[in-house]
Amino acid sequence: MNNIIAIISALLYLALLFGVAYYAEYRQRKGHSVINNGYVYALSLAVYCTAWTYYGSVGRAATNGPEFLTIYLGPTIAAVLFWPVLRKIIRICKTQRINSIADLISTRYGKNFSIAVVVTILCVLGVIPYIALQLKAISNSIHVLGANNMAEVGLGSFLQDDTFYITAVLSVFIILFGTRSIDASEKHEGLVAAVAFESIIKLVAFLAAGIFVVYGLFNGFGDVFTKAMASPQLKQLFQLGNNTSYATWLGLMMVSMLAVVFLPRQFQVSVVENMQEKHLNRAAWLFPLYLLLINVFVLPIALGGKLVFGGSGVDADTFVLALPLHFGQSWLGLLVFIGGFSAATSMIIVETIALSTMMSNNILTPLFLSAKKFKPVADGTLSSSILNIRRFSIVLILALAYVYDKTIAQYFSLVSIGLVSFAAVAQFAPAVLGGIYWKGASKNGAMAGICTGFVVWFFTLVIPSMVSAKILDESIMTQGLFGIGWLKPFSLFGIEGMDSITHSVFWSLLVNITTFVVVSLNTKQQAQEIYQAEIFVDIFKHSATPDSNTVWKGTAYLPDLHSLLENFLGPQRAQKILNNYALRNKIPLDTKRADPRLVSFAEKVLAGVIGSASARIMVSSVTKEEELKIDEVINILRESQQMMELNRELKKKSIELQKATQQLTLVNEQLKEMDSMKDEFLYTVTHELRTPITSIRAMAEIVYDNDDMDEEQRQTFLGNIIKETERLSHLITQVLNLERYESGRQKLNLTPVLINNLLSEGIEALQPLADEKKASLELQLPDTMFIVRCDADLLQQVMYNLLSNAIKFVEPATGLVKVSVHTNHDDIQIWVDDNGRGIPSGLNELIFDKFFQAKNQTLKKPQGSGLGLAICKKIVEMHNGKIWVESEEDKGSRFIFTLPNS
Amino acid sequence: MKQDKNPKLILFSILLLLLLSYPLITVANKAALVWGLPALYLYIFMVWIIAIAVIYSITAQQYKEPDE
Repeated sequence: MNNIIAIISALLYLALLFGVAYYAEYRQRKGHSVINNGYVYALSLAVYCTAWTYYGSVGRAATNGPEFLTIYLGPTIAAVLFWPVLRKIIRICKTQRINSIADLISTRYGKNFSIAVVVTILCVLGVIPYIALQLKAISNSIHVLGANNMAEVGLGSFLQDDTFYITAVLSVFIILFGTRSIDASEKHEGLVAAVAFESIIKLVAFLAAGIFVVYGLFNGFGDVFTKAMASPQLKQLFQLGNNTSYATWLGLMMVSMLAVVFLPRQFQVSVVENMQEKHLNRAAWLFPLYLLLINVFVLPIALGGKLVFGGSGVDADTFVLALPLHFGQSWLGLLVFIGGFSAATSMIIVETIALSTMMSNNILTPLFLSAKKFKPVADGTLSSSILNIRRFSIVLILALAYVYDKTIAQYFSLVSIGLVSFAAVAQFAPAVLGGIYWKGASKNGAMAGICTGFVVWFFTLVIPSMVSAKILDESIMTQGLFGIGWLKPFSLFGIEGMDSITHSVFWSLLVNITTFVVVSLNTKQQAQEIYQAEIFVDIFKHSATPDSNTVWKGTAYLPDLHSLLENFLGPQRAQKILNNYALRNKIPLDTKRADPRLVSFAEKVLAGVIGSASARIMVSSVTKEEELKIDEVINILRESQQMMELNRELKKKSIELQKATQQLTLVNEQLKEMDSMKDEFLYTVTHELRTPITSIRAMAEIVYDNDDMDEEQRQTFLGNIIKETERLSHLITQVLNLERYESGRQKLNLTPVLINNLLSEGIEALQPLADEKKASLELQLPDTMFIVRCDADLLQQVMYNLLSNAIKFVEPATGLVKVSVHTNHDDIQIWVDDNGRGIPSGLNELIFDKFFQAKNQTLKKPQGSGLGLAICKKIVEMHNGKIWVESEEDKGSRFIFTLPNS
Repeated sequence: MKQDKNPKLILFSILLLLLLSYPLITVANKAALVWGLPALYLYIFMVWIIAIAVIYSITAQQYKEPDE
């Protein structure tokens, strides 16, 4: 296989990437985003795995054993903290329209300009070698695939270099999909989709290589390990302590834990391109799973390579590719090459986007604007100028990386360059983490911390690499800076025993954190800083009520603001954005003076385009801002705090009100029901009264009209009239009684009463009625005497009603009514049994309703007023007892009422 | 009821860091094979798999976001 095939397949692969990115943007325009889910988000985070992982891990494993794992264990620990920490950063960046890590730090520290510049420079210096490393990996792999010895092409003949063309195509890709929108805080849909796609490719390819080595060349994991175990040299790779101390192990784990958040490309995919915070939940376990999978075969491949090639001089960094090729598997080799290519390109794409945003926003655009002596001319050319600056930055960064690759990078292995970058971005950790959790962190502290950390990093890692590249003299390494012994780059203050990376991270972070804290404690924050600190640290409180507390004071004119936005966004978009915001917040747009909220909104929009520090300068150039005094800021913050508390209070009140309303509605419904019940009752009562009155009147008329009626007949009629009248007055008494019980006007006259007496008296009173019907009445009294506190008269009435009912419903002659007493420990039950016709099932409860009988005329012959049982129920309930009936049709019924045992 | 998963996650991250560093890691740090696999690798990958399972169980329990 030769170079041509490698290059053609690389270019075809890039064409495929274009397709993926176009497809994603096409879907987005149709409203079906392909990247708006947790899986794609997790895959895009896997841009962490670069060519260094792909080729370098094997190389590292072949010399240092398990040490390479630290680079993936650190991020696993970081992933646990995604939800607690990264979510906060994401929320801050979304509400403040922050689009890079430099922007994040500068916004937190009072939108300071110089700090953004320092962070940008540190990022560029720290990360460009890392991009160069990817280019180096690409050209290495092309050479391995083409099986020509690694003749490095010098810078002078770059036109014959494959990597040059690949870099050129990549820059076209990045420009095409990375500079679509002027607003850098907008999502790069196509890029993210392409990166997620690349993550799948590199994983599949690496696993394929691993499976080939473990199961194709050997008989499974056990075989590889057993064979390696036999070699005293390879056996050493199974444990720590050989080239790696525990301090190094921990140091590398910590530094990669920080890197997975603070590397510009990681910040880009995890924060800037994040669509929804909840995707973190899925990424928190999927991303570590991805890392685990891509590491499973690293050691077996390294051991396999060592066992196969022995001391034949094949670079361990290329084992993944060299092994399949050595055994004639050229197609697998091509797949592995494409996998490594995808690992490298995904990193280059995202890192370049992130760096170019920082570089153009924080260095080039401000230079451009100040050179042009900014005047608000709303011709819209400015937005295209800024896009061009961003495009230029992309080309510049790739060019720098290319030059670095061709000049310095050849002296180092893949891993060492990567770790230098890790150590560089770790310097942002104190300023960022301190900034989002500690309100006292000040701009001066952050600046001092980053700068000192930066210097130590430069001295302990960059200087030695310059020595290796023969740019500097060797003496600095052996004798120290200016010949001072305790200033040797690899052993500051004479401390030895750490590897160079751990040594550098330890010292730089120690100095960084100490300076940051000490300076912060000893400097006064400015008004803008206090305000930003408040917003950042309490972001979850503030993002709930956005724009409630605008901190801006001064005079601004709407036309000025308008034309400023037009400059950067073009007339239509500026108009649309302003109108929408004004409409949402009910701000009038027809005034000349601009509302402070509008000013701060315009600043935020511009921050998305040119970074917060530049945006602030731009806005202040067209407005007359008054310097805020610290107590004013504090007042604003306090007011907004009070507003929020007021809001909470109001919410609570309104919930209470809602509850009260619900209760009122309920009561109202009950009242309505009772009202209709009363109407019904009245209707039934009058109906019941009319029946006897009608018959009385009819009979009286007959007697009146018929003088010649014989005496006997007249007597019968008059007797009937008297009976009906009695019935009428009985009914009225019962209605009145019931009304008295229901209204609660009837007071209970509680006295100790002997149940036995009560029942005997009841029986006695009803005996004549029973005799009349020739029914027998029976009383079964218990041996013990029960005394109950109750109202004897009322209970007598209950007995009367129940007994008279029972007598009424038994057959003459055979009828039997039996009264008995039963007890359990809670209450006394009085049973009234009869052998009458019984009660149809289903009516057991209804018969206690008022006028139940009257309303159900279909029942067997109505007798009585229909109020007796209702009255019984009322009285028993007034005594805290219960009354019910157990009955079977035609087999008699048993009425039971209870009285509490006293 | 919304419940905050942050304390669980923070505690677990500390536990994970402890499991993966000195001195606990020395338990497995020897040049020997266990079940045909290097002891240290076996230990690390086991911890890794368990960590992924634990993160999954904590973060998947509710996809609602708690306010702070």
